[in-house]
Amino acid sequence: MNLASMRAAVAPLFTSWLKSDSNQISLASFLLFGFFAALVIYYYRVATQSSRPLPKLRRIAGLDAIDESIGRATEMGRPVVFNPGMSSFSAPTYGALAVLSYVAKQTARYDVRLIGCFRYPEVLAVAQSTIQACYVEEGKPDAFRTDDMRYLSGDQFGFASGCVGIVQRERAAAHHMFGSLAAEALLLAEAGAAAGAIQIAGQTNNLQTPFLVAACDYCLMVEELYVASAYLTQDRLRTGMLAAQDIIKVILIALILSGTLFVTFGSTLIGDLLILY
Amino acid sequence: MAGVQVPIGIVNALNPLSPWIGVLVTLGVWSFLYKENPVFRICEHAYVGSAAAHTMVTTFANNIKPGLVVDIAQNGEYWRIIPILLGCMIYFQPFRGYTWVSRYPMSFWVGYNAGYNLTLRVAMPLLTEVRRTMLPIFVTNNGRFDLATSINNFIFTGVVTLTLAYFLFSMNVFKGRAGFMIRTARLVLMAAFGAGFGTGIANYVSLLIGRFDFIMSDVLKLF
Repeated sequence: MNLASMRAAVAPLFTSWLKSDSNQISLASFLLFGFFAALVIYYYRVATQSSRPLPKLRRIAGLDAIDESIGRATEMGRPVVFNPGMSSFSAPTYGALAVLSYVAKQTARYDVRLIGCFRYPEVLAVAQSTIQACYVEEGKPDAFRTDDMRYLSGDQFGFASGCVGIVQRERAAAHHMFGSLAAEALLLAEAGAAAGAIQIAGQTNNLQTPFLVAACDYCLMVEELYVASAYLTQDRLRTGMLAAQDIIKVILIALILSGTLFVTFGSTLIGDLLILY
Repeated sequence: MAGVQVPIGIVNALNPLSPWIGVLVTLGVWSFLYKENPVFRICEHAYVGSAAAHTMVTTFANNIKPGLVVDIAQNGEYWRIIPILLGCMIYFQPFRGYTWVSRYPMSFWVGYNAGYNLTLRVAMPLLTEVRRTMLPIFVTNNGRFDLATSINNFIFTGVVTLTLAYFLFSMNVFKGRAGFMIRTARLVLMAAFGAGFGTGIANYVSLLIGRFDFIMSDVLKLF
């Protein structure tokens, strides 16, 4: 059976459904997505059974430095400023909130003041609840200060200038920037450096990562942000999800290498299979 | 700012002043390069305050007012009352004892975003990108070996696979002899970031030139 006949055989089954509202979804993507979902579910089941071993995560210096920065803030008696990024609810913001919950637990434990800067009121509300829960968990609900959770501005540079001012005036000992950052990334990092804060950044915008690598003490690159919650908490479920994602990446690497080999020898079979209906 | 009417008299009165306000605020913000000072603080708070006011006015004029007046009152789209109610529930956040009310719209919002992002549409661009990475390593052009394109394709495929391998977190593939992979991947990433840094700085310099141009040419008329 050649490719054309395969396409002809499956086309009637899938074109009407998969391409009903757009022609962006292929059969291969549907099957691959299903396989990835099955893999994640499998590792979820593995993670729920404590007797079954899970792989260890490799060391990420930027995440190890979070404890160091909070320790420094404790010694200096100065606050930690946390910035969860410029976007509303999105994958980087969820990653940032996961880091924030860890930072909040640590600041509550060591009685360090935590200041949050927010651009979106909805993120502020969720972050506030998250931090409050962390303080309660650490047995210090009264140490949580609502006034330190600050909505600044919906405007990009209004928000940035507010952050810059807070980092400077409060003389932050640690400045954490996680989530989605854009053109203001360098402004924020420079302000933190000028205040003498230890700076840790983690974000997914490739255009801004170079500035953060240059201006911050530690920088999490792209996907390292999403690993943060699993890495910091060493939670089995989250580690299991990561193991599943790593297998997916290995499959993609294998696809790329084999596809390259096929194309080099004149066959586009693997590439064609990926866009098969 | 569609839908917002500013009295024309105020606009006319402020027009001659606005370039000078622009210059003063620019210089005030630049004073931060020396250190944090009261002038910067005034500019910062004025900016944050005016940006918040602008957001509030535009949101009311462009979303809330047309939603209430046009969509609900005129067009009878009463289902829009549901999101309005959900929005109003968020305001219970500061009231101790009623904070739970605000959690319902927030959880709806978070759930909606998670669901919206987790669709089959995520998989398709991924496969398209994978397909585009499959480039021949030995390229011939008019029957002759094309060295430049071949090297280019080899570097491209190698960099993509190495970078993907760098972001494997749970597999100890980088120990021992394979450790060169992570070092190479890191070097490659840093080289890419270096190029990005140079491009970004060029953009920032062009913004700076624009600002100088505004002060020197538009306001001071020196050039």
